Amino acid sequence: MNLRLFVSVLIVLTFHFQMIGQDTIKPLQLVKELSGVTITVITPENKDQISQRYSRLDILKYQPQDVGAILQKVSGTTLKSYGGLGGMKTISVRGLGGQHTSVVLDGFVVNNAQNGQINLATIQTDNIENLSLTVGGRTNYLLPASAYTTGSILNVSTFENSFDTSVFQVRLNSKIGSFGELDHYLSVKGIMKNWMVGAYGKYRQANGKYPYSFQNGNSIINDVRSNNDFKDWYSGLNLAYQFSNKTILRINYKNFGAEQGLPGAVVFYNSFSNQRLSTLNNGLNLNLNTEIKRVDFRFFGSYQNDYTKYTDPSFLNSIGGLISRYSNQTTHFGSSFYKLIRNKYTFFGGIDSKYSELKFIDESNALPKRIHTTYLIGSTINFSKFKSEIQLTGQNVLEDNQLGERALNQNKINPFILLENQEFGNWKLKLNVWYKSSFRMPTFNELYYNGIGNVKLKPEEANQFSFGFNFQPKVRKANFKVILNTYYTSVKNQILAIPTKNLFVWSMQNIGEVHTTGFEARIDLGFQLNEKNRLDLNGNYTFQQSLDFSDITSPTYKNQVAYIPKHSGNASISYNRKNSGMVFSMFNSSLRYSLNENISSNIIDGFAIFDAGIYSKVNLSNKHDLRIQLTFKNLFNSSYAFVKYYVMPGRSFLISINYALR
Amino acid sequence: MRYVRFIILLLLITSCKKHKVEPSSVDTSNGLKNGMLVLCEGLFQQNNSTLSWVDFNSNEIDNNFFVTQNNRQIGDTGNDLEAYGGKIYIVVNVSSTIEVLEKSTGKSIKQISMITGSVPKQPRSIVFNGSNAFVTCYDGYVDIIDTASLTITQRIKVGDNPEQLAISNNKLYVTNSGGLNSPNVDSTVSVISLSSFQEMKKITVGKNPGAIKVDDQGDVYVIARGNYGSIPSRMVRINSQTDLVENTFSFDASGIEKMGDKFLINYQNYSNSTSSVCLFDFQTETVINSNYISMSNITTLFGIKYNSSTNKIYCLDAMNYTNSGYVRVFSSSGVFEKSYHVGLNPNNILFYE
Repeated sequence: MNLRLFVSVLIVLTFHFQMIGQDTIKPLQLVKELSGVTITVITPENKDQISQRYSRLDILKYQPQDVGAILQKVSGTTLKSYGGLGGMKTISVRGLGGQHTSVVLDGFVVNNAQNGQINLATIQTDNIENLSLTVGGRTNYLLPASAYTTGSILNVSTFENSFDTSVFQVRLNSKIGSFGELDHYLSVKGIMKNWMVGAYGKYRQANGKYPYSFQNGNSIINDVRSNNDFKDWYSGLNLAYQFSNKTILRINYKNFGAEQGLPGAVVFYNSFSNQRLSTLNNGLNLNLNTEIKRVDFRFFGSYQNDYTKYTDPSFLNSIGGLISRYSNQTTHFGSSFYKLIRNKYTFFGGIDSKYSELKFIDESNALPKRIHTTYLIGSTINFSKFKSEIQLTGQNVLEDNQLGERALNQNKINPFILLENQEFGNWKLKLNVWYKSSFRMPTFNELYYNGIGNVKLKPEEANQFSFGFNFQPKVRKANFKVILNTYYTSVKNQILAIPTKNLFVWSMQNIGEVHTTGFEARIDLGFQLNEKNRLDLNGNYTFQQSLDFSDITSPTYKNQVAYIPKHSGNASISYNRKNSGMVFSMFNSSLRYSLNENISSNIIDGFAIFDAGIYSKVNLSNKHDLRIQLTFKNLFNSSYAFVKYYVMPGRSFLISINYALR
Repeated sequence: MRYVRFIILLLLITSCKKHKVEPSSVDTSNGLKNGMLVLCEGLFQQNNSTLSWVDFNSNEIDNNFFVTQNNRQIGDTGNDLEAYGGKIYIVVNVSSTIEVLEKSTGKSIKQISMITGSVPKQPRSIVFNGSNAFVTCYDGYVDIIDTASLTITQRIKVGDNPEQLAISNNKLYVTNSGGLNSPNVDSTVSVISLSSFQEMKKITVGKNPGAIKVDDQGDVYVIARGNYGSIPSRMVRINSQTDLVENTFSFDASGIEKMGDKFLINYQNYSNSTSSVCLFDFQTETVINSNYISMSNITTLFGIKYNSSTNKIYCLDAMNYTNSGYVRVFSSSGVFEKSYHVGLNPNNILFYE
């Protein structure tokens, strides 16, 4: 395993691509009557103050290309983006690594054992109805138990999966933008008697040839990104049958494919790049929601096959190139329940098992298999003055490798405990304090990847303490909400790659320990100026001191760890008048270090980027909506990078047309 | 509006600033002397290969020497640094360039691009003979560069992923690692005639050949690095008259440096992160002392150099490969003297009298 492949593996395959998921069900808590048929409506999300949420309206307003671009706007997160459209994006929440976040699409956990985390650039935004990021424990109560085992949960629900009262609905989005971006999405869904049917598809492409500039010594170099073309597509079919008020069966099939160039970091004096990546994912989901003896139950099963192919035709081996193919299969099934008693107590829980298998098609060093079983039991109690929640998750991991040594089996129990008061006073003051412990398993790549993997790896252990409060100051004609959180998190046995044979041969080791102290502030202020005019101001600020506690004798002891900015923040202002409006937003990050040693040669400059949009809605009739928006991204053409030498695009435009038949 | 003012303020504070590289504190205006240039290879895809100038009189260090002299950076992964005929040659692997500098000032004379067609050749190391420089290229060739015109005049086909080269008995010896075919690595040394510039034969020396050095008798010593596991690293001796392997020495080795009539042989054991330096007598072909230098002052031994004018040993310490490294100075009898803090992953030194 040489370093070039290693970097590709770490950057591309380790965090490789997951399926865009349109899937099933949320708890059946709200039902409506329509022409004699009872129709499921996705439950409203848990409105607790720990979660940060974005709705379809926010997505239309900001026109983020993918979920990664939305999460950049969320406080407490650190985004790592390796380029423009199609470039890989991962997030770290509150100083924990990307694998400490569960990604749940329509009720299914989509993180796989191969990589442990999702490339957020592959989860597109066209069909997202709601998105929330919850740190700590709480979220929707019928999620699989395995969703609760991580430090945070990203929960996404899609249009295709929200059946409401309309008999027939259509959505059509088209976008055209800089660097050859072209983007079409069509989704149709309908209800016939007790049947619900939905079908959708999406195609997107870009040539990715964006100009950039970077500094080399004391000079500025201007160039254009090459081998950065990208195209992807997905489609799916949803079918549901309503047996009774509380019982609904859903089945859906989905697929995702992508073909792209991997431009890599900008290397001085050598702009050559021809590595490619293909992704092909297929998935089938089955879900049954029902009520048994006045307890809500959910039973689910899913199968997913994730195929990736990485090629490097200029790899200087004797056969003249490198092809690496991987096929990861996941079968997941389980159940969960939820019971509300006298509006005072809830009990919830679940059990699920995930069977994973990874084939390294072009290497025969390992054939890892894993059965990962999670069980959850939890309860909330509402007292008159305060509310408490407690959860216990247990995990059992059985590992197998027919071609060699296997990783250690695991058996662990982790608690989550939360206490908060009921809102009080004119300002609706609410305080919350919680603790959560969690761990994440080493991924198949970290354990078994040829030459890099290390089967001796232990799980990464995380602990989180959080204290926060929120209140709603009274301001005339305005909604005003302030949320303040402080937190402390630690990660032990952090899995990092270090050279173990020579500088060109690295492998994974449990050597890191990171302690993070953070503070975040969010302010939302909305003015309904009069019947026609509305002004919204939103801002957030995150402070994160993430220090390296790995080795007291190391020069980097207590240095700020690589790629976590101390300060970051967002601000946006939007103004809406009747059916038109404009939005102006910015994202700001302080300097970061590319390595843990906090010296000037490792500095990556801080940056601020500004986006602006102007939109207009046309009401063709009661049932038809047409919305047109012009968005400028990176308005001031700032030259910046999240990851050293992975330059980001300069100023670009996007014209979006959204049509909806309601 | 106050809000807009706030945004403008933030814009002003955070707009990308161009870092001005600080001028060097080290005075090199009278030309480089009594010091050393240290090549630090940096890390892959980070463009952070650097050149440090260390002044032995003042002990001052300029860790950004290349930029100070040339207003631009070396690029990605500088692998070799050698001087010949008043010029310095830096072989830059990932950037695929050879930087040719004026030896007395470190100012650029020419940057030779080592990209053929559009494919980077990934050069690794360089030696000189007559009016020619010979550069190993990872695409399986040795390139000949004319040291006057600084252009590539010829390519000689060798084995896979050639690493290092040495000259003896009017022949060029090239170690073919085949490292990119791992685990099916190469195990040969190519022998090239310096009259015909043709490969004459391949000598099998053991898996994954790397370092190569010639002793005063013209014998060629090669380190076959094994597989870092079941197959140990071994040093072998080739008789340059017969081009046959005459000895295989039963100790582990990573690199060879000549110190007078002895070799300093360093070894980095990656499995337990320990290293050692052995003193080897190439006349009697015996180990004099297998732990010549105490490793207590060194974290990761990344290379070793001997300077005859100061009569001192300079050990290159790569720390943990992601923190900036050190040059650890020892007396010729192996007693620790001092450290110089340099750039990331120092791998080579050029001494100035």
